[in-house]
Amino acid sequence: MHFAINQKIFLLVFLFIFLGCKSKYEDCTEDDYKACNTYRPVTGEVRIQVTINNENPEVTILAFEGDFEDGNLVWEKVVRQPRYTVIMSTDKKYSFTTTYKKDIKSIVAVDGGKLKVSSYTMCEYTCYETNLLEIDLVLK
Amino acid sequence: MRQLLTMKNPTLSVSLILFLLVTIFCQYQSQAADGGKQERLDMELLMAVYEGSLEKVMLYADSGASVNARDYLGLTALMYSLYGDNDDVITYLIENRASLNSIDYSGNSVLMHALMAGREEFIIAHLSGFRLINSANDDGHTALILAAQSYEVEMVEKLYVKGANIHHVANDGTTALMHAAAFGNFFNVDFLAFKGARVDHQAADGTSALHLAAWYGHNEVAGLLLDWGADLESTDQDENTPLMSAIYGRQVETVWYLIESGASLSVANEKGFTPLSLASSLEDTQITELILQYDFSEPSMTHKKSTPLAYAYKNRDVRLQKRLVELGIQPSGLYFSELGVYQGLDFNGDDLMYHAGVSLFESRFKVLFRLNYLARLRAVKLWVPRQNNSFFQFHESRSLLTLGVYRELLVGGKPGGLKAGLRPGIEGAWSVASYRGTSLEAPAGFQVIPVADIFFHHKKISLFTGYGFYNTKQNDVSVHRIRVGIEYRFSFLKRPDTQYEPILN
Repeated sequence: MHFAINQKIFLLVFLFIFLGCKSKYEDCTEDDYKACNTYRPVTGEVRIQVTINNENPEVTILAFEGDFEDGNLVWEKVVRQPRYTVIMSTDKKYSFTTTYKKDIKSIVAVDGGKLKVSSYTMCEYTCYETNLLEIDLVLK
Repeated sequence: MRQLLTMKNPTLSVSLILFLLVTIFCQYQSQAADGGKQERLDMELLMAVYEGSLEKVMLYADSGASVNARDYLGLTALMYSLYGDNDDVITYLIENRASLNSIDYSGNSVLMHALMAGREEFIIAHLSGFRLINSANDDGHTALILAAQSYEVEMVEKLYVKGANIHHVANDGTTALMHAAAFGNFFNVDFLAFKGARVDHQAADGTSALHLAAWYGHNEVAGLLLDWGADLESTDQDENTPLMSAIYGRQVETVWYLIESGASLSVANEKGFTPLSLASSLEDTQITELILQYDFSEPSMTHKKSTPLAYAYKNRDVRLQKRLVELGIQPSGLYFSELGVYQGLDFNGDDLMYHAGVSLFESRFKVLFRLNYLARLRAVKLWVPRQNNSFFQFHESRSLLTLGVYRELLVGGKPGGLKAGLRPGIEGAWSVASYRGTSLEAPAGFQVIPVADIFFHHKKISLFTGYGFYNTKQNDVSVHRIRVGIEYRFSFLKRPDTQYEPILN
C-alpha cells in the first residue's frame, strides 16, 4: 500500500509537471500571429501609484536608474492623481521615490524594479513580451 | 449429375447450376429458420423455469423446447429450477429426462448447483443418479468442497460413500478439510480427518487448515485439528504460525486458545514480526494486553523496525512501553519512526509567509527535527528611520531557513486514535532580506526563535498551530507570529501485510 500511495503521488506530480510544461501555442493553423511580437521590445509600461490627500495634494515622483541613493536621476514628475503611467526602457533597473508629509514626519517612499523581457516560441517564431512594472509608492 | 453438367448446351448448363444453387440456399434458409425457432423455444422454456411457472414450462416443452436447453453460461433448465421455489418444475424436468449430469461452462455440475442452492432433499433423492461426483469447476472446487463448507456431516458422508475424493486439491491448493476448517464446520473436519484427509496439508501459499481456523476464529475447530495431530507451529510461505494468523484475523479468543495450547510467542515470521510486535503494529490493544500476560522471551532483533517497543514508541503507548521494559525488553539508541513533509502559513499582523519543510520524528525521546523554509508571499512595507522625524518607506522581501528541535509533551489520546499534544521547541534561523529600489541592507542573519506548537495527530496526518517569537528589531514589525500547517508522515516501521482472503464469498 505504501508503494501504491507513493506511485499515485508520483503520477500526480508527473501529471502536473507534464501539463505545466505543455505549450499554450500548439495550434499553428489559427491566424493568431498578431499576438506575437517578433521584435525584442526596448520599452515597456510602468504604472506608479502614489497617495494624494489633504496633506499631500501633489507629490513629486523621482525616477532613478539603479538604486535611488546612487543619484542617477532619469526624470521627475509632479502628479496630482494617485496613478501615473510612463514608458521606460526595458532591461534596466529603476528606483522611484516620492516624499510625503505625515503630521510632523517626513516619509520617503521607495520602490523599484525592472522591466523584464520574456520570450516564448509560437510555431517556430520567437515572440517577446514585456512585463508590466507596478510601482507602489502609496503611504503605508 | 455429371451428364447434366457436361451437357453441351451452355444455356441449359447455367440454368441447371442456378437451379441447384437456389435450391441449396432455400434449404439452408429453411434449416436456419427451424434452428432459430428451436433456440427461441429453448429460451422461453428457460425463462419459464426462471419464473417458476410449471404451466409455461409444460407448454414450451410440448411445443418442442428441450428440457436440457442451456443459456449462454451453459446453465441448464434443471440448474435454473434448483434456484427457484417451485419444486413441481424440478420434478417435471426430471420426469422428462432432464440430465442430472450436465456441467455448465464454468465447470459446475448439477450436483454442485444443487449444493449451492441448498437443495439437500433433491441431492439425497437423486444421489444415485449423479455420476460426476468428483468433477471440479474452474476454481478446482468439487461437490465435496462445497458440501464441506456449510452442509451437515451427513451430506459429506453421503458424498464420500458415493465416491467423493477427500484428497482432491483445488486450484489454490486447498482441500475439503481446509474449507470445512475455514467455515468452522467442526463435524465435517472431524469426519474428513477420520477418513484420512491430511490435517497438515498446506495450500499453495503454505496455509494449513489450522491457519484458516485461527484466522476465522474457530477455536473448537482449531482444537479438533490439534487433536488430530495438526502442527501448532506450522508456517506458511511468509513463516506465519497459526497464532500469527489468529492475530492477523484479530481473533482474541483464538489467540488465547492457541497460546494456552502451547503456541510459541518467541517466534518471528519472515518480516521479523513476532506475535507481540504483530499485535502492537496492528494497534490491537486487546491482543497485545493478552500476550503480555504470559511469560516469554521476545526474540532480539538485529533491526528495530518491527519490534514491539518500536511500535509502542511510535504509537505513544506509554503503558505498553512500561510493560515491555518490565518484561526485560530494553530500548537501545534512537528510534526514528517517521519522516514527514508539511506546509502551511506563518503570519503576524501585516506579514504572511508560506512555509514548507521536512521533519524527522524520534519516538523514544519524542523529539521532532524540522528543516523548514519560509518565504513572504508578498513584500511588506516598512518604515525605516532616516533622520529625526524622517523615515524611508521600503518594500521588504524576506525568506528564512530554519532548523528546529521540538519535544512532544503532554500527549493525550488512544493508541491508533487521535492524539493531541504540546510541542515546545527552538529553531535556529538563517534569514535573507532585501529592500526594493535600494542597496540599503535589511536586518538579516542568524537568530534563535523560541517556538511552541499544539498538534493533533491521526494516522499519518498531523495538524498543528503554534507561536513563534521572531524579532527582526525593526520598528512597527510584530515579533509575535502565529503559524498553522498540515503534515503527512511516512512511517519507517515495517507493515505487517495480511495475506489471507476468504476462501469463498
